[in-house]
Amino acid sequence: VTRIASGAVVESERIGEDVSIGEFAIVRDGAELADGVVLHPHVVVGSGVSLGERVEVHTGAVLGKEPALTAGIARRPKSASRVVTIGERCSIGVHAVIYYDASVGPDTLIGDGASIREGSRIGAACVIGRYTLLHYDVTVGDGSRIMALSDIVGHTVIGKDVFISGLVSSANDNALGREGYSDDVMRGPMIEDEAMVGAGAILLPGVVIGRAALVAAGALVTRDVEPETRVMGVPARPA
Amino acid sequence: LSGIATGAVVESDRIGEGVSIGERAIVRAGAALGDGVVIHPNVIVGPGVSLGDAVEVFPGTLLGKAPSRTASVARAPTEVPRTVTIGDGCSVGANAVLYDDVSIGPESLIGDGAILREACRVDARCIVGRYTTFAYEVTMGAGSRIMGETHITGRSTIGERVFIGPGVRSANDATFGRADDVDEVILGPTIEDDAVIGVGAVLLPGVVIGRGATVAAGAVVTRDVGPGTTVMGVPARPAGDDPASARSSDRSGP
Repeated sequence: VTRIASGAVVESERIGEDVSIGEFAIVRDGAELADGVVLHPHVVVGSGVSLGERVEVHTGAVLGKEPALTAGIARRPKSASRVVTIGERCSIGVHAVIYYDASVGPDTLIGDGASIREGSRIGAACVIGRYTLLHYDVTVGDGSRIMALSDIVGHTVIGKDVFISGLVSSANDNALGREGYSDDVMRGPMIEDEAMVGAGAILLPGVVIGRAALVAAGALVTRDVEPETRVMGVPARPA
Repeated sequence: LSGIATGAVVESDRIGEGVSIGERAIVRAGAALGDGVVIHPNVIVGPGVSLGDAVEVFPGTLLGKAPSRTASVARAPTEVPRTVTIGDGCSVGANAVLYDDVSIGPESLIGDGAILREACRVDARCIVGRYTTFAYEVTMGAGSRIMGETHITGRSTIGERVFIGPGVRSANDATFGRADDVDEVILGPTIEDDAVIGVGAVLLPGVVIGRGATVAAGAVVTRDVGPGTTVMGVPARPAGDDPASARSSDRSGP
């Protein structure tokens, strides 16, 4: 039996069985909620958003946001589809924001306040920590976990079963914005399967962290890290 | 024609043409909304807020918050007018918080969850990234950009066309709050026009980053940086005159 609390606005007719929609939540026309979905109060689900079975969305989360297009933006967002797909049994945190043209695989946790921009593709059974940012066109493989307050820059590629600790930052533009923006030049880090990145590490543009490599906490990674090696320090060197 | 959704509370009569106000948004008496403004659901627009034409405010954002005054605050906030001014074409939020006495120039972007405290001045065509926080009395010149998760400390001055990467941190009190009169010793960094600050850099109190200077990623800046120079490391030291030496593509490393 589906339950819609008082004050909720449900414009969509594509609502499954046993769905619960909390007070003042908004479900726009064209959104799709599968069986057993739970929306807590004040959630906004935009048109074109599809939630798999038993997805739970916590208070104040915004699913389906258009990228902003103010004059200060160096990179004009590509024409993104107005679609967000969230797989079965995902949990989306309080105040999380997911932009249009993003997808999240099943059994993934999106933490409170996490913000995921257009073009991001997150696999199954992942964790995106609280207040962690994913920029545009980021790929996260199945089983990878990113802890809180990390900033994953545009065009980053993260493999499977990767672990990224908290407060990790990254960059994709060696010119620091001085030479304008070109998608051909910007390269985020590539973090291969099973690699580990310690708390507070900084990953510079285009570095490759090899398979099962380990970046120590606080390291500044300025060059590639070979598979199964450890680096530490500023700049990072093999341990 | 303006559209006001169910449950929205609109106390103001200063609402322009073609305005859209979402469900449960609140627009207090005295607020002014220009033509074509879009207010998403659950936004709160305080009484002294003025929004230019075509401003878009995403869900859950709060415009016009009074500074907190608990006993634990070392520096009692100065009295500020209850005004927030946002220029034409700006985009704000979701879940951003702008305190009283903040102004934002036209065509600027304030990211999701960004927080700007009282007496901040942001000029035109700026970007303040997601979850980036400004303490009080920060000025930011036209065309400057700050990426996400960065903290700009109180009394920082940022020039025009400055770029500040993500995860940059700054401090304004070398006494760590131990001074008898905290307000007298506080001074944030000054970042002059066209300077760039790399990801994860740390700027200590009162440092001046000269015009067109480069601070490399992860550098800890403890003293002034001359115009046009590049610094890197912990503590940051000059790296020569070629900005390219600060790049990760320099495979010899710093």
